[in-house]
Amino acid sequence: LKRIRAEIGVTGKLCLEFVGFAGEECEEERERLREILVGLGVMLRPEQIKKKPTTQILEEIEASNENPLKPSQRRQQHARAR
Amino acid sequence: VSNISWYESLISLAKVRTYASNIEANPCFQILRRSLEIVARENGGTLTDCVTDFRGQTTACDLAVAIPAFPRGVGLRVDRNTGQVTFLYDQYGGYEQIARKITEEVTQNYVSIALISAMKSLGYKVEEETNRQQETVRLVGCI
Repeated sequence: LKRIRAEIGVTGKLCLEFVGFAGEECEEERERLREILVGLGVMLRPEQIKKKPTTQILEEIEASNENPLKPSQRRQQHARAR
Repeated sequence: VSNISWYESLISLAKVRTYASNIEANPCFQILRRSLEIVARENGGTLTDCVTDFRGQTTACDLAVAIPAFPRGVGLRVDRNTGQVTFLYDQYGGYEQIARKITEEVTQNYVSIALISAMKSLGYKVEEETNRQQETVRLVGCI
């Protein structure tokens, strides 16, 4: 299970948190979202992008009940994430 | 890898030239209209197509919202070449705060509606939670 948590502030300031994404998935998903938003009239000007610690990413992925990956694949994911 | 990112959002309607002869058919314009409708509904106001200044003189807009706390109204104009959205209002006489609040609510609504639509188009199931205390809108998309 992957999640995108979003918080939209009073001035339209947007915070996006990607949960359960490994490797390049997060950047790819973020770019897909950005492109669709541009088509819908929302231009996003990045202020800060903070990478989560590897341990947190692993915990999020492991917490997912629907993660179809085998442990060996998860380790590979971990290695890629690093 | 998973990350957290912060953005400043700017509203700039897409495909304005395609819809130049009928801007109301532009999907972005429809989001804009819905954003104003929410502000009108939540503040007991109405949608109009003009704003009034302190002298009572009216100015035409593409869309406008007038609420009891600010009956002069806040209007929107869309640049037909760039899609840039400009807010119009007369804040003279102590209406700065309420006028700014309306523009912020419109912007927040627009970004929220667009984001829900964008996440849904990527296959996410989206749930919304409005945080009245912090005046933020929280969305969670799951896939």
